[in-house]
Amino acid sequence: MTDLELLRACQQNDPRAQTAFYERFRGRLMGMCRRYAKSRAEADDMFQEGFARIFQQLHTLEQAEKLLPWMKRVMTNTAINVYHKNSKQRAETDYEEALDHHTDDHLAVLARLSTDELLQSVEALPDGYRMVFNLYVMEGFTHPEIGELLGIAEGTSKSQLARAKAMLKRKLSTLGIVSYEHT
Amino acid sequence: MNTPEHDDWERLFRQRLTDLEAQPPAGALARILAAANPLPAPVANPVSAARMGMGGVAAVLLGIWLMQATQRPQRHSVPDEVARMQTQSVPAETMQINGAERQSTGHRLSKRPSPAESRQERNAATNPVGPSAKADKVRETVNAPDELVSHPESANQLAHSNRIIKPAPQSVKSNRAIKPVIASGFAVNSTQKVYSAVIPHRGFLAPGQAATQRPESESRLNPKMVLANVSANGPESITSGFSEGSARVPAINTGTTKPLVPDLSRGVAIDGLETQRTIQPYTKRILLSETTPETLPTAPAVVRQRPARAWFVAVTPLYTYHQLTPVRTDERYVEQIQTPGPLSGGRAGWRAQIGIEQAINKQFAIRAGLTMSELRQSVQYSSRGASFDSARVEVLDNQTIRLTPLYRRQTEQLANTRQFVGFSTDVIWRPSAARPRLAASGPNQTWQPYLTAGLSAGKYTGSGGVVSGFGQVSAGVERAVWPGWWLRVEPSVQYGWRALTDNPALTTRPYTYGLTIGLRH
Repeated sequence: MTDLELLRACQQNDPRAQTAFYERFRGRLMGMCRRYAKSRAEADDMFQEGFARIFQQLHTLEQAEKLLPWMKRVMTNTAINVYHKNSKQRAETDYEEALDHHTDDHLAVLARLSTDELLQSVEALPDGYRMVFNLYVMEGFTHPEIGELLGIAEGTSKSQLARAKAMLKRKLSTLGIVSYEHT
Repeated sequence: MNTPEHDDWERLFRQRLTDLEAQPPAGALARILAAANPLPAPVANPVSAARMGMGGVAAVLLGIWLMQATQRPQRHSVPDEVARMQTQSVPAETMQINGAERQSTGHRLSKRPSPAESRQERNAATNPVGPSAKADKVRETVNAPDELVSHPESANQLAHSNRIIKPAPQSVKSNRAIKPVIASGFAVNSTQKVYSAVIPHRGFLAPGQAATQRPESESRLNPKMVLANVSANGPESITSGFSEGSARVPAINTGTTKPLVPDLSRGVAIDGLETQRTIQPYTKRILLSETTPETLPTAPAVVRQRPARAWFVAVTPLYTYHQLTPVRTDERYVEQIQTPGPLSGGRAGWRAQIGIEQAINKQFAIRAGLTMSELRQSVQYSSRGASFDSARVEVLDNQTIRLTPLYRRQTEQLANTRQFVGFSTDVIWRPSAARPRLAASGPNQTWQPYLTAGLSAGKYTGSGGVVSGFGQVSAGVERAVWPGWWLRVEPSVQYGWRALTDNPALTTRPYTYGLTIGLRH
C-alpha cells in the first residue's frame, strides 16, 4: 500500500490502516522524540501525544508526498509544546560554566561514537540548549524562526546554540578520551 | 558564526541523528488510537441546530396553513352549491315556467324513462307524422312564447333543454324541412319528451347505419346526437360525429338530413332559434339543469391561465445565521463565542433572483435562474494558548502551595459581509392544481399555494471565490394581480452545504430565513 492509499484510508479512520500507518512511521518519529526529550520517559509521552495529533489532523493533509515532512513538523510542534510546559516549571539554570573550548579531535570522536552515546549527549543538554540545537542543526530552522517558535530573542537562540555545541563538544571530548588512546 | 569546521560538525550530527529510529513503548498504539478517536465537533451555539429545525417546521406549518386558508372558500359540496344558486334571484322568464320546471325536474330525477317509454309518449303526442307536421309543431312552440305558460309540456321541454329558445324575428316557413332539434341529448322537438335526453347513449351510429338498424324515432333518443339545425338552405347531409359537450355532431338519420350548426357549444343562433346557454357535458348537467341560465355563474371574461413558460423576478429580505465550529489546532483554544441576537441588524441580508419557469405538467414546474445574495456575519470570540502563560503561586501553609495557571486571552471580533452569486434550480409543486374547482370560483381569483425545493450553486465573491451552494425549500402562495402577472409571497429557508474556512479559528456554515416576494409573467 502506498503512502497515498494509506493516507486516504487513515483519513477515513480505518483502524487497520492506522495500525499500518503506525508501524510504518513509528521508528522514525520515535527517533525524533528521543532527540528532543531529556529522557526516555519524556520521549515516550512526546511520541504518544504527537502521534495522536497526527491521526487527529491527518484529514487536513492533501498531498501524500508531504506526509513525512508534515509529520515531522507535528512532532516538532509537540516537542516545542512540551518544552513550553516544562519551561514554566523549571528554575532558571546557569550554564555559564559551559565553556566554549574545543579541539580538532571532535570530528573524529563524533564519527566513532555510537548513536546511543550521541543521544545521551544530546539528552544531557539543558532543555533550552537541546531545543535550539535540534531546531537549528537537525531541522534547519533559522534563529529568527527559532526565536519565534520558542518565544525567545534571536540572540538568545544564537547564544544557546553556541553553548549547546560547546557542551556537546566537551562531552564528546570526555567520551573521546575513552575512545582515543593515541599512542 | 559558522566555520567550515562547524559545518562539518553539524553535518556529521545530522547524518547520525536525522534518520534515527527508536522503538516506541509497548502499548503505545492503543493509547494513541484511543486519544485520536474523533470526538464530536463542538458546536459553538447548540441552539442554532434547534433554531434551524424550528424554523423549518414553522415554514412547513405556515405553508400548510396557507394552503388551507386558500382552499377553504372552495369547499362546497354539490348540494350546497345547488342550494346556494337556487337562492339567487330568478329572472321573470324562469318564473313563468317555474311550475313546469319543478314538475319536469322531479319527474326526471325520480323516474328515468326507458327508450320505449319515451318513444310511446312521443308517438302519443305526435299524431301527424311527417316533416310538415313537425314543422308546424315547432313553429307553434317557437313563435308563440305565451303558450309556454299555458302549455306545461312545452315549457317542460324548454326547461329541460337547458336552453332558452326565443322567437325568431321572422317566422319559420312551413315549407321548410324542419327536423327535431336535440342539443347535447336534449330534445327541442315539440313532440318529444325532454327527459329522453338523459338516457345513456347507446354508442355511436355511423352514417347510414342508424337508418338501417333503428327506426327514426329511436335514433333521436340517442343523447349523443344533436339535431341542430332548421335550415332554409335546402337538404344536406349530416356527416360529422358528435361527442357530448363538444362541437362535433354525429351522424343521424332523420330521413331528410340537414346541415348542423358548426359549434353548438358556443351558443350559436340556429336559423331562427337562438341559444344563449353553453351546452354542458353530462358531468355538469345535473347541477346546471336545476337552474335557469341567468342564475348560472359565468366564467370570467378573461381567463388567466398559467403559461407553459414564464419569467420571474424576486427579492428576499433575509436573516442569516451561522453554524460555527472552532478549528482544532495545537496551540490555540477558541472559547466564549458570542453572536448577535436572532433579529439583530447584523444578520440582515437580501437575495435577488431572476430566471425562467417551465411547466412540466399541471402540478409540477421547474424554475431556474440567477441568484445573488448578501449574507452578513458578526461573531466575537476569545482564544488562548494551549499552555498557560503564567502562574499564580499562593502559599497556603508551610507545606502547601496553590499553583493557579493563568492564560492570556485575545478577543477577536469578526464582521463579514459575503456576496454569493450563482445559479438556482427549484422544483415547484402546486397541490391545488389537481383539485377540481367548482364553477362558482374563478380559476385564478384566490391565492394558490405551492411548495418548492431546490439547490443553488455558485461562488462567494468576498471569500476568495470559494465555490459553495445552498439547499433551499419554501412554501408560498401566488395569485394573478394583472393579466399575465402573478404575485408571489414565499417564505423560504436556505442551508449552506459547504462550510467556509476563511477564518483561521472558526468554520462557518450559513443558513438563512427569508420572505421572498416576486412577480411572474
